[in-house]
Amino acid sequence: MSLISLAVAAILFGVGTYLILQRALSRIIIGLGLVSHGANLLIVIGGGFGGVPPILSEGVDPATVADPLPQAMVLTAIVITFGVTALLLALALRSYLLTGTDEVEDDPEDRRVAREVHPVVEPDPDEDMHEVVA
Amino acid sequence: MNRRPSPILEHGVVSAAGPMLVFSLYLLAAGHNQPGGGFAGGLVAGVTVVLAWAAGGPDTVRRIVPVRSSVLLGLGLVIATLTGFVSLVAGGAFLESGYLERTLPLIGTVKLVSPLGFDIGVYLVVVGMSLGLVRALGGEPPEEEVGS
Amino acid sequence: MFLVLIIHAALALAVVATRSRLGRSAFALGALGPLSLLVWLTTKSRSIVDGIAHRESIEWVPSLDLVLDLRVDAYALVFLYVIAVAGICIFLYAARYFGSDPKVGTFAGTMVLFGGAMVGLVAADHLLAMFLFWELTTITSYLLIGYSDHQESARSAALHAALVTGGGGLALLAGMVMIGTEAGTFTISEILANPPSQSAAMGVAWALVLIGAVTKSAQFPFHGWLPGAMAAPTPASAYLHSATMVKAGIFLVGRVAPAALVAAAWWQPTVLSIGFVTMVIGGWQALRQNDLKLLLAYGTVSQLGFLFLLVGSGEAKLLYGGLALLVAHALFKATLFMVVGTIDHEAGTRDLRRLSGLRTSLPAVFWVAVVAAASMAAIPLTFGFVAKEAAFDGLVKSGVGLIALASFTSILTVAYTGRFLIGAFGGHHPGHEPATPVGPAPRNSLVWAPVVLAAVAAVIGLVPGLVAPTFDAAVEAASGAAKAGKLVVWPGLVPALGWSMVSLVIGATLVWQNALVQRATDVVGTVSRRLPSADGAFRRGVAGLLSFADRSSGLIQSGSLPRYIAIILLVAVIVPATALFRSGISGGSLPVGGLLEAILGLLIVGAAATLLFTTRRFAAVLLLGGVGYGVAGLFAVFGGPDLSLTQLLVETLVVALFALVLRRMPAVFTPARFERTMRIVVAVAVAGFVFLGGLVAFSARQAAPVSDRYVEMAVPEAQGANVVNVILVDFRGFDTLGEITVLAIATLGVSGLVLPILRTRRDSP
Repeated sequence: MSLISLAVAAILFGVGTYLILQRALSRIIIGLGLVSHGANLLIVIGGGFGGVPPILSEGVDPATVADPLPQAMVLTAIVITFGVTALLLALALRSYLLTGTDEVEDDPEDRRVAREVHPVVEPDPDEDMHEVVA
Repeated sequence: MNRRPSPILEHGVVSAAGPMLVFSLYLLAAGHNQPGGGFAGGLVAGVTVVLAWAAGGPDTVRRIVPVRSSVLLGLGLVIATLTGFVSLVAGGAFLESGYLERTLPLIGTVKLVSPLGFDIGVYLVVVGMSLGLVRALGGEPPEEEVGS
Repeated sequence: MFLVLIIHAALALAVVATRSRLGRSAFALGALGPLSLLVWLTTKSRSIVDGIAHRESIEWVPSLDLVLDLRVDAYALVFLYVIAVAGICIFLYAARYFGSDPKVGTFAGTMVLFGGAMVGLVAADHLLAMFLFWELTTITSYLLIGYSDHQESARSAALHAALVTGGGGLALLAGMVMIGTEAGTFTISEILANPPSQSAAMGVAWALVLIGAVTKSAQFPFHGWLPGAMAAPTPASAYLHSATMVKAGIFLVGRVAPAALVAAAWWQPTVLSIGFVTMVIGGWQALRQNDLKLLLAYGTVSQLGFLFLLVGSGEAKLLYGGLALLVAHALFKATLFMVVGTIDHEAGTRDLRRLSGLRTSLPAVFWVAVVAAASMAAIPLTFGFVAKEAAFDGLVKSGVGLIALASFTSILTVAYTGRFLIGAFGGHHPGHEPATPVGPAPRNSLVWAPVVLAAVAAVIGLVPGLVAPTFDAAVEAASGAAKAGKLVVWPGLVPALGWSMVSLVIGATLVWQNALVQRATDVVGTVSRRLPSADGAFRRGVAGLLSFADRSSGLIQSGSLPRYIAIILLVAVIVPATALFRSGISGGSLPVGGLLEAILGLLIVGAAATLLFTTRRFAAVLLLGGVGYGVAGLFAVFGGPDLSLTQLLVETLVVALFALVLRRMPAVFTPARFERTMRIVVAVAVAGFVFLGGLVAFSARQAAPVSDRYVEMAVPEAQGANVVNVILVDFRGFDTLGEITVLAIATLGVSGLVLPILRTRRDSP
């Protein structure tokens, strides 16, 4: 772990977030890619101060190797991110082929709900609820 | 792709594809003791597929890897799972590794570890994935998938 | 006792399962529930009255220390008897009350379930178990009130009751958790033996418990739900809303009062005030009602107020009369509810302005009503009189103010009792038809079920010595005081008798001068209607809550994806960041890093920064690839050749796939529409949190890495020198198997998303 790498990871998170907060799907995917890079970097540097590669050939002192567990986890994460990116690309392509744009529009159902507000009912003081009981 | 790919480029890629695939197999085989493994090997093969697609389109891809992606995906999953069960049947835990050591004539001592089977499965899945993604996102479905 | 609970649960299921075959006779089957309780009580009550509490215990979740403890002492015994006796009569009554409605079976099953929940509530010796049963009664009550679900009024009344008692239940839960935590145990008997001492937190806790009891027992200012609950069919009103469920709050305050008094000095005056206000409001409202059932409901509110202050005050001498009155009330009020139900059933109306002449057409019902009403008005030689004398006796000893207020309410009670009897059975209403037509007088349980209850009450009224030992033991069990009061047919010439006789006479005068009373109540009613009412406050509160929910969800759920993500990210940053800063952990010092690292870092940051401003798609993709290669370099620096290799290859593939997709799209991004400032704020917040969080987390690391063992075992166990690979294919092989499955599925997903569209394009250009 080192300050430089930590700062790089944080900047990747920041730029990625900035790109994600948009409506063009292709740009969101790029932002997500940056965030993934930042996260992977964070996990690797979280594993310690580095070291020689964790390959125990002859002459390698096991005490000096880098922590292999975060590496294995990040290796998995890299490949999974690849799959996710491909899926998102497919979504963007499909959206573009169907609508002519890869923009994410506002959800019409959510907008309808947002506009709809229950009226605040003022109870009628003359209305006697006790007559209502059947 | 509508434009006619350059024949020189196509030829170059096809001749380079063989060594690249061999290199990917080397990474796969060496991965247990050196950098590499099923993921890295599969990805090298995947890059080969992408290059072939860029050079000559789907037909060139089929010349290099004449298998459908779904076959590779399924085969890879089956091999990986079966390897796990082998050690289960042999009395160990799921995916616990065992090994065979034989001295073969001419080659010398060969150590065959069961994780290699698992890594082969990983390799096949990654190659199948690259193939499937290139075909789909490349946007020109090969003939045999169109009608099905 | 567990057996009784299980019988109730099984019966509820059986009744619902066979509902189509049984019809309304399902209630006869359901009566086995309270009957089993009664049998259990008769076998156990002797030893319990002798002071030996009956205990049962089941380990439920032992690891969480959740045991289901049941404990029946004499105090609980009194309530259980009420549940059993009233239950049997009301179930048998209900078996003839309903017509051939297909929903009757479900109703019966719900009533059985309610009975079981009530038994559990009274018998539970664990706060949380008690709460569970408490809520179960709320839910069943909701279902029973809302039986006529085609009527809007019934649905809203059910919701009103559920919201008020359910909200009170939440307060109760919070109070219980606070008390249990403070006391170190959730077992009720242990808390009572060793109550937590006075503190600000315990003050809040007991106030929360009191709120739970107040809502459940329909005390001011939450009493509004009980009259509304009269939308329920009469058997439910008789069972839940007069005899049992509304007594749950009273049971609770009576149970915890000794412990609450230890921790909260305000408990007694508060309970007394709430009880008195409820008493007076209920009695007054009862005088104004024309619907017989509502009249009884407000009478119940009034009586509950009286019981609440007597039982909840924590004074043994008040508790004694309170418990006696509680049983008397359950007997006469359930009887009167069934009488009203029968009248409604036979005459088709409950409006006392339209009823006349039922005294001659329904003589048996009339005489039952007279006996029960006499008990309600506390005429001598009734159980009501015996119980009220015991209560008045305690009040006289507590001060002249208390007894004067109680006597005032007694006047109202006598007055509305008279209004009930004359209204239901009297014959001379000027301007109305001489007699309400009724069918032939019923000769089934519609008549004899109330007769049984009235008879039980009459016997106790004449020979109170039969039950006096039980009450002695109950008061001793709840408060520790022996011989706190007495139950006698004739108390002798004591001050209490004077107060009750005076109120009886004034009350009788009010009945006589009914017209005058009506005019007075009309005048006061016109004024009080303008005042803020509990019911209006409830409706305003609910409407306000709905509109608040609308506005807040309109604000948050705007439909805009960037806004959703911004909200999620900000929450994800702010919550842990707050915890981080409050924890006071400070970041230690990290090494700055080497030169190679700095160069790679500059490359990465430069590519990322350019990404912020680029509008061309291809340029953006290439920059992303550049960042990826840079990160691969960093991985190599940190000793991860496998990672570096994989990252390089993946990045190449990603760029290639992007290129394949983007060649179909316009070269330039559409400009972003979401507020730029907002994006910058969120991005900076996320980046800052990652940096600070990383700083703290990395310096806080103390434990040895788990992977030390992986390094040790890699060669001897897995025959592999590349530890990363060994972890992937062996130690964590299962994870990898899952991962490649995900990859395969993702590939199929991509094909499924894209290929069909391409095919249709090709087939129909």
